Amino acid sequence: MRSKSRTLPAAASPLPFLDSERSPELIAALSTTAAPHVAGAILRTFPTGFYIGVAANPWGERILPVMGAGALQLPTGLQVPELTQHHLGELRTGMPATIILSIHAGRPTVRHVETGDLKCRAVRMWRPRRIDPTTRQSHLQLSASTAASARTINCVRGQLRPGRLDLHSRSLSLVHALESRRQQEVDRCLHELLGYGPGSTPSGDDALCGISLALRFAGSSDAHSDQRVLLAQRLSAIALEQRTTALSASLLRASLEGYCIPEAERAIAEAARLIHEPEPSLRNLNVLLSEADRIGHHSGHDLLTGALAVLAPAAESAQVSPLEGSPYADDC
Amino acid sequence: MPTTVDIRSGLYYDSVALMQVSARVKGTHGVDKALIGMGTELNIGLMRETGFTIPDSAAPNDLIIAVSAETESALSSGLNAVDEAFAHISDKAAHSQGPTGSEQPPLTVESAVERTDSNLVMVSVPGEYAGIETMAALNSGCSVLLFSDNVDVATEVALKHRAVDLGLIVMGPDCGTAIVSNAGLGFANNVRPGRIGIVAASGTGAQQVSSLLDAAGVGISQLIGTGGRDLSREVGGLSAIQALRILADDPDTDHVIVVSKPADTGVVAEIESLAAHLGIEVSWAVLGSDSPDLTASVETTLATCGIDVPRWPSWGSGINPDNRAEEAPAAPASGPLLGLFCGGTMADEAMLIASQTLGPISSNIPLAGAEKIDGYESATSTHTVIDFGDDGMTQGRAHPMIDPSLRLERITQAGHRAGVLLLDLVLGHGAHADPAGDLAEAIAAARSNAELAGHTLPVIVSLIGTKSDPQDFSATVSVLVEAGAEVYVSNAQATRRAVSFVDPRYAPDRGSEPTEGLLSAPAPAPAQDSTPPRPGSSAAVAARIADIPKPGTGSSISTALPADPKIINVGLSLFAEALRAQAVSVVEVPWQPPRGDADRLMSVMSDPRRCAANAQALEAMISAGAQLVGLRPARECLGLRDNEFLHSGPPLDFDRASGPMRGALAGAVVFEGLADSLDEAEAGLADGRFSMAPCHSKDAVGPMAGVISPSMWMFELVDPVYGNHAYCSLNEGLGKVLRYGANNDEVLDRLRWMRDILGPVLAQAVAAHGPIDTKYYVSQMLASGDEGHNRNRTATLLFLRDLMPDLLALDFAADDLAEVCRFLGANDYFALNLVMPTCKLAMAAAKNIPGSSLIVTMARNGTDFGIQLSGTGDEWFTGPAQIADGLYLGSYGPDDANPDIGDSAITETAGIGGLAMAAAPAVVRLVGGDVAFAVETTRRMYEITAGEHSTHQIPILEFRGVPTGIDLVKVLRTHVLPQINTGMAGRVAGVGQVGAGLVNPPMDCFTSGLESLGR
Repeated sequence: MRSKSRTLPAAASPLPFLDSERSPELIAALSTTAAPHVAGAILRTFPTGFYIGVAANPWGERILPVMGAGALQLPTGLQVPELTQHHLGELRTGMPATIILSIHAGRPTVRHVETGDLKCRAVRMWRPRRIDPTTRQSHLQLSASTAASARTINCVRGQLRPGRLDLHSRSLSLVHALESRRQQEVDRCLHELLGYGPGSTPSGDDALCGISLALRFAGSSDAHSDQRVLLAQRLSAIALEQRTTALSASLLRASLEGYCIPEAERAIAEAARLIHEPEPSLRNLNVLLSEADRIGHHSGHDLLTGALAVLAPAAESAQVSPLEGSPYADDC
Repeated sequence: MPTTVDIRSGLYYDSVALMQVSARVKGTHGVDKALIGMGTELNIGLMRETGFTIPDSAAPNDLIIAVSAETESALSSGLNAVDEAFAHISDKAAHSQGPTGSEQPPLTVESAVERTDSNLVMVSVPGEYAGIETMAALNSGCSVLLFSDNVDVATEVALKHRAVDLGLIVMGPDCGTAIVSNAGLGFANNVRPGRIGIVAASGTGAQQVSSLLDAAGVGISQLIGTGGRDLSREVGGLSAIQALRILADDPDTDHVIVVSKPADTGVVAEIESLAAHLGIEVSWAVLGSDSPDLTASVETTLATCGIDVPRWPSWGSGINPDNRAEEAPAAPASGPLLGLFCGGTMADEAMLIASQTLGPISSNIPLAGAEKIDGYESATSTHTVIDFGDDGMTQGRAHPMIDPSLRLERITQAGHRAGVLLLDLVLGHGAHADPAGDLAEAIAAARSNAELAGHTLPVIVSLIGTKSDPQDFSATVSVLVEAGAEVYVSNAQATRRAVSFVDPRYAPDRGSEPTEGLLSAPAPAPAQDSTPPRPGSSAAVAARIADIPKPGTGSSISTALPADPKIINVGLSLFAEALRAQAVSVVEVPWQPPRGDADRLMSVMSDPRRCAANAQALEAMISAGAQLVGLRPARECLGLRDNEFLHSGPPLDFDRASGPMRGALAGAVVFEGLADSLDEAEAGLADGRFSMAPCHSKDAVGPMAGVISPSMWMFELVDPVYGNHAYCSLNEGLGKVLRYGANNDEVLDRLRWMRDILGPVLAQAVAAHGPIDTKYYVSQMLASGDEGHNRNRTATLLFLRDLMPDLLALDFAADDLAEVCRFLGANDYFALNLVMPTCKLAMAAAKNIPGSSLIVTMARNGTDFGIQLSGTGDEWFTGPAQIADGLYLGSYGPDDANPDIGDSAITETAGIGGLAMAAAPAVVRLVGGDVAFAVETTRRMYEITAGEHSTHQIPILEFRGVPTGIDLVKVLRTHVLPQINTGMAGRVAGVGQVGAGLVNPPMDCFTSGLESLGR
């Protein structure tokens, strides 16, 4: 039996809980109070954590993932390693929750969470996994595709199970638009992907995260840097919460800064390694697929579909199998 | 004597359950004999031999309860005990803990890494063993914070080289402090996050620097400890270089401070040059006679980064509004300076500063030219500084930051002779939760004693801490000041203040200008004038950089030093508690000193071949196949001479042979017609006329005594993957059989029938059928409730099913074929002799891999238990065979049992049998446990094995592969011995089987194996 009076230590994300661009009035109001806090409710509970939703801006809710040790460590979440099923068992969807904030330089971070008998107090900041293009060597050094890499790419694609059959072609269209710097085309492609598919993180959003992260993973070349900037600019101009779920919007914004779950970084790194191996092995392909599976039922495969659109050599990227995404797609 | 025979029809209990009931009834006071069993021919014969009258009408499906007792009352009690025992069996089934038992905690670092997503290991076990745990962590792909001290230099260098090779880092040994992604490991202060990285070859030095930075409003990105000796010539800064590389790759780090106690100037110079190549600003806080103190170094860093240098706070009697000690003129002290420190670097810094004024300072860690004294000596008449955290002061006791009692005692005594008392007090994670109260009490006592001695004792405390530390910083200051101490956050300033009592000219600088040197004289930064001559050219330095692999791949910080640390703690639990309080995931591994020679164990674990060798051996075990390709007499397939006999277990001289071994060998000699009597046979075995050798020496295995004679038929198995061959004799059934040492006419007649009928029939049937995949049998057995050692029903029936069509078509007399089928069908153990060579082939594939610590043979000869290792060829490592713990047939008891015997432990060696007990929970009744016990036993076996089998799976564990590849190293470290299911032979030759149970190998085998492998 857990002690109801115990406060669990927690680690807060350095990413601000509220976005100063989208919730300026709320942040301003909170900054004037001695104990800034926002009221919300539990949106969903899992065996390893729960989500709190807060009405934070005119377009929708802001989500705070509260994550136990076994949960996917979302970069915007509050880590509570000692959170167990004993604690979670008493939580129900819709229960009121309060988030106490600390505001420095206009950036609100989570200090305390209370819901029911559960209290979590942030005692430190944790460091979400971040892909930093400035510390990376370019992984896209194949100017011309080799037969081996073409086979590998087709093989990997054939093993992926994206949530939508045309996700690859939509991802590829966006990458081509970014490469050609056609702003209108970029916007059109973004709208084709945003919120596309079911779930709390729709397939199109996951693929967008994959594209964003892969552009950072690809290195600090001018071409990739320009594409990253263009993608960030065009996405920032869109009210994401109107186009997709609040959780997905927050993850998408985090991905623009390179923040992601460790599994996503490993999957992208593994994919880059695999498609540039002279003799790719089935074992490495299985490692890649295992990483994708860890991310979620479809999410990992969706994310990799987006990432592959960036990581695959340009010549190969144009070759989209007519059977793409179907059970008859390229087989290893 | 009152006797009863009760026959109950329509009831069935398995033989093991009935043995349990018999044992319970026999324990009833006054009961003489109790035999309870199903009405099989064997049981009825046993009951009649014991003196019970069993009616001929009794059938195999009848439960027979035969009890005799000294009195009618005792007989009645015995029968009541029968009912209670059966009720107990039913009750246990109803109250089982459930099919899966409880989860087993990880017993090794390797297991914890595999079972969790932990990525950093903290080791704080005694120094003698710390290298072992650290090497285990590195081999598992984790960097290590090695808190332990008393680790020898050679071990430190070996560990650090391994870490560099693997793209990891060893922070330590004797590393008390690290801050990884805002989580304090060991003794670390709760400092604000920021963009300055610290590389520290000094724990308390790092705490001083990080606390001063925090006081200046500057935060830390990472604080990477390296251990106090890292910058020595012997170690060469291996970890400091790795740390610089990590921080240079860290996008959250803009500037690095290197902190160290007095270090080798050549190493410092070399690292300084290396740092210049890394493209990150580095400043130095390396103590030395010509270098600035730590406070001055921090001030220089702040200035370099464009940050205002604050006034460092201090408190004393009559605290003024600025929170600063009064400018009380120091009255000349009436005795020497006595510094009693927890932090070695604080002590060093104090000596460096004080010696400039006071001359050489005696110490247990003296500076060059000063007198070295025993730290346990009481106060002397000379200026003295004692480091209570030094290795020599912490053997057998906790660090003074955890257990301050020794230092408190010395403080209390200091009032008599010391002129001024200089102390440090270090707050933060991992340190004593409330150190101030006791320290204040000791200070007050010291001052009081001084007053009694007629003088005043000034007490100066350097307080290392921040306002966010778990201890209450402000309250700590208050209580120390109340006790009469002056408190400084700068150790350098505290020291100067203390010195000023001895020589008032050297009061601490209280101005707003930063102090830059030990005596407030400007001292150039090490990167400039004070840099020692650089030993190498820039080209040489670049080559050195190139020699050092970049940590990990991609973002190095995410691999060598995880961005989101999840810790495995081996050692002091207080560190785990401190980490949990910081919201860090922690897995604690229970630790105990390993068995065997620690140096040898370290040597084995350091063998760079070991990990790959074990992986290769494991892969071979799993990949090896097994096909029954035929049956041939032993003289043909094993090349046995007419007078040559094989036996189970390691090599054995006949004069050391146990009863059942002697009985079986003698019986075999008579069976071969080489002697007319058992006595004559034994004489021939003793004088060497009949030679004997282990079955394993001929690629064969034999259950129990395992005796193989030239005319016995052998199963011949081939591994189609590796091409190895393995052989095993045919199983004789249960009861009085040669393998249990029985050798009467009944036994020899059966052997002759096996030679003349069974062997030829099976040989022709297998030839007609073609190769039979016996590895498949093992997988099917595990899926069907057999574990392959004491339960072989499924494989026996599968074999019969496979062979029957070809067997019945053979040109043999119908009666002979029928007898063969009846013999196979009636002997659930028949397939044991197929499973054993199947396992032998798996282990043969894993033999002779240099560096591997996996066990490839476990076998017993009734006298010795022997093991062989993959990495040591055919060498045997033996210890005394143990007596199994189990249940006994009839009226037999422990005194009747012979020590463990047989090659059948090859099944456990390959991961089935006792290791896979969860697959056959019925077997557990041999020891009176329950299903949960079986599952827990198998789960425990995963702690000593290298991996899991891909095709041999256990359904109740969600089809997890059986634990495969027993690792000598893990056995020694966990003290968990392989679990073996076994039958028990009678101690006296000719008796046969007396029971069955569970047994473990003696630990001596493993410690002996270590001696050889570690050479």
